[in-house]
Amino acid sequence: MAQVFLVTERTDLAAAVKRYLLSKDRIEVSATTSPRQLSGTGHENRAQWVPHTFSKLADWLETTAEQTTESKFGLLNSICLIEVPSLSSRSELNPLDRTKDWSAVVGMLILAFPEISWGLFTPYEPRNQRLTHFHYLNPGNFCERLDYLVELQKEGFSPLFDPDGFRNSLRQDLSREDQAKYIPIRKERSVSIDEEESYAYFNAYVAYRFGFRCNVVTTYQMMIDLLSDEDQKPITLAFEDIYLNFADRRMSMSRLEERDHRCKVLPGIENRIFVTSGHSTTADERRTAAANKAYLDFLVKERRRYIETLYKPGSGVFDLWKKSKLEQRFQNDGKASGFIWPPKPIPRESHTEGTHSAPGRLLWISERLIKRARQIHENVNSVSQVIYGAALTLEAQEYLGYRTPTTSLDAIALKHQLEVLAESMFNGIEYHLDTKSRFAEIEKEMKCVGDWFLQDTRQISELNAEIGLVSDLVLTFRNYNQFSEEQAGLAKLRELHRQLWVRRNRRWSWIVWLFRFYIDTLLASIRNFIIAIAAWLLLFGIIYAASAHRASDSVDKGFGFLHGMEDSIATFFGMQPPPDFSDVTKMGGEWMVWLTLFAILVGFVHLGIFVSHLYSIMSRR
Amino acid sequence: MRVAIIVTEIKSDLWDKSKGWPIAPGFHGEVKVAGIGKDQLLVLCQAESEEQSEPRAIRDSRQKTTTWLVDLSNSASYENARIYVAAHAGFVSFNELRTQITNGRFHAGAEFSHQTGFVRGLFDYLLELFDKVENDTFEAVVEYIGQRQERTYAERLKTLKHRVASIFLPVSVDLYAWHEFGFDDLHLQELRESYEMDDGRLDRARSLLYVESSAGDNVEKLVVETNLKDDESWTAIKLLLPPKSVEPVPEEVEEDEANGYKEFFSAKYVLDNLKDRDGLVALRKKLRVKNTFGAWCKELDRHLAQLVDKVNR
Repeated sequence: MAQVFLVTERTDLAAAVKRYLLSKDRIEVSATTSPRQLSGTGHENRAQWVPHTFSKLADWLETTAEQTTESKFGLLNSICLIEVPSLSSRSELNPLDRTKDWSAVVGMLILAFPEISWGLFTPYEPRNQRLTHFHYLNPGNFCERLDYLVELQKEGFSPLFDPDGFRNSLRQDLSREDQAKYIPIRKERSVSIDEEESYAYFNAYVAYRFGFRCNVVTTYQMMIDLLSDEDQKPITLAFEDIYLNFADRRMSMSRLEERDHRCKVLPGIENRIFVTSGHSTTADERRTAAANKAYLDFLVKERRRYIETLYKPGSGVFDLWKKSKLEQRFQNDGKASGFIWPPKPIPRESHTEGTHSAPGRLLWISERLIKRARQIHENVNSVSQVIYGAALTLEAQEYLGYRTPTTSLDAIALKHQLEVLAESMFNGIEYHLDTKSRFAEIEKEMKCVGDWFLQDTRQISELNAEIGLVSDLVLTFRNYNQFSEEQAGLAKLRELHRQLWVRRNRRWSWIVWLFRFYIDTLLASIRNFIIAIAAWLLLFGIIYAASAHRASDSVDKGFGFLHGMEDSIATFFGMQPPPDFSDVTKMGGEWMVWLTLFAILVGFVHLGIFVSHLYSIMSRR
Repeated sequence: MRVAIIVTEIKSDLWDKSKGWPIAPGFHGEVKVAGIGKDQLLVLCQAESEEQSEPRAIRDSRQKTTTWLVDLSNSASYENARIYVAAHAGFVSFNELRTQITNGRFHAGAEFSHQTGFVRGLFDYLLELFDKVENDTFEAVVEYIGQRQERTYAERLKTLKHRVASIFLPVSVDLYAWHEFGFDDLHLQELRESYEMDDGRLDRARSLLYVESSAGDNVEKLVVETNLKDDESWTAIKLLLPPKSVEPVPEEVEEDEANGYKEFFSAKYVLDNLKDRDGLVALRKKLRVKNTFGAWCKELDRHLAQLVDKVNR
């Protein structure tokens, strides 16, 4: 059952709401009085009061939720009603507006707690009807809107991926500030429909990550409420399960034509990705599958919709986006239009005034988000909880815009750990994960963070940070027995350590660089190893054949190349001179002794590493 | 980009201090400009008027100056800027700026008088800025304007309307809940315990409505200042919740007069009967037929909303 928090000046109102919700839905309301507003106009007072009041209330929300639910997840999808009695425009909620006090605190809270549905009890009503309906209450509609919010929570509504654009509207105000222009805006909407909460949250997270706000739909009622009203801003992307079996279903939604008839918004969605297990066991299922195929063909040909069907299990965040080909479909670097991330770096010769680091209040918000995500990371036991944590770090990362490097690194590291954790924990995801794209993204992100490091030490700082991040991921892979991913991580780590070592020892590193590079490449995969061993054997075989077993003057007059290969194999694997060593030295001369010794050494090194590598693989698998 | 526009008098220290500044081309009147990084500081003199009487001259000057500011803010040079205005008191209508500057870019406006004070005021900050046009002094002025910004009459009325309605909201919530649960005894008991000591809601609302009971901002003051004293909504409000000094007693008023106060008497009856069990039992009978308190709250809110609309116009 949803938690409800209330922050108001009036204790009598708090008491009345408590009585009402307890009697109606057995919901315990936790209430606190809003702190006294500032008197006077001293901006020194205000500068201190706003962040400290924010901290106090944030602490209250976190501890109350934890105490009431005895878990770290009590805030997820809860409701908080907060009184803002003098709000006269949305822009007053801008946390960076230093002329505002209480409304700036409320703005900070809204951004710091994306998992809460915020209801502002205020005289202000925005023009956007949808936002008004969800987020603004006044004395005239208080009970009605409160009932509506509670009903929504019961239907499984989640504000985490900003479905109605409430946080986005605050972000728009923020991005008008010179110091926060980097904050990305999500203009496009998406929807993730699945009766399995894990899939619904996972797909919604992927959409949010690539720039879409997203409605998570896990109940029939919510699907009908959300998707039967055509009078709303268009939705650009949908992730849908085909065989929907909602707990509260009143009719089957598995026939897509019927589904679209019932949910009139769906046929208008440009991009529909069906994520399904592809049931076709019974005759009825086969009939449904055939009818769906025909209908989808119609949508593609006649309505020019983009349709892709993916089969469960998937293989992670990047793979979902790649396999659905959305990466190529969206022009904006594979992301939703208008979503600019990572932010463009500030040119070195920029003449803007002030500091380039993230504004202090946004840093406080981000630290709050990271702290909660860390607690979640330590206590998770379901995929949707991990996704919740990952969403918090994503928000933190975006508010920082890479500008406060250390905290940004904390956010990025935690985000990747949580994503990997989700991928590893999720039974709906196949065993092998896409590590290549993840490492590529980490490298890209480190470059963005690196822009804010001192130029002289930038590359070393970037590499250090990347090593830290990848090491953490390797540990996560190890904990969840993702062996191939762990190996890929270790290979990446070796590569990074080598690069770091070269940068630190520029003068003489070239001497051993090639050797390290060679060993790292061998360890990257068994295939590399086999190719390398074969190449050495061939090389030694050719040399033996050319120098000691030339067909014309060979002692036994046999075919030179084969004989050379025999000697090569015997030396390499036997780690001793070939049986006809005396003939070899006689024909090839003294240097053949050195070649043989070298071949023995190479064989020793390769076989030693190969056997131990093979052993480690076999013992783990 | 932020633009702070300072409207001053022709014979003022501020105008003198801006003597050497470049003039922005293409505007009506003389507008001087100083750049601070990406931000800009503009200064101009309030419009002059040929009207003879002082109130008319001020009104005329105010109208012209406000139009200049709107044109200036919406011009191509500043079409994306956030606008802050500091104006000589009475010579700019912030209400109009708020509605006519495009895309909600008018951020804040504050008035100042051309006198330095014992306590540092906006004029002191402006003098400092004009002496030393740099980031810190500019930030101080912008921040000060934001803090001291004039809230429009409509905004003040809206806040008062919200506060009045909030006083009665707990009762409305409880009655709504009681109705939802079929006016059960359990809820009746809870109501009695909660409202036993409850008192003075009407007086608290009066302190937001009438000058005679108020120490701060109140609706009557705003109604007088905006010439809405004879407005029908204001008259209706006075009947719905009469001032303490003229509060009628049901037994003492004539029938015609009592009819006018019918809704007030019903609301008062509800508030008075919440305090004890017998009162609540009697109230239950009435509420089963009609939620008179809800209707009274709605009416009060509706008339206050109409006042807001009229002030907005």
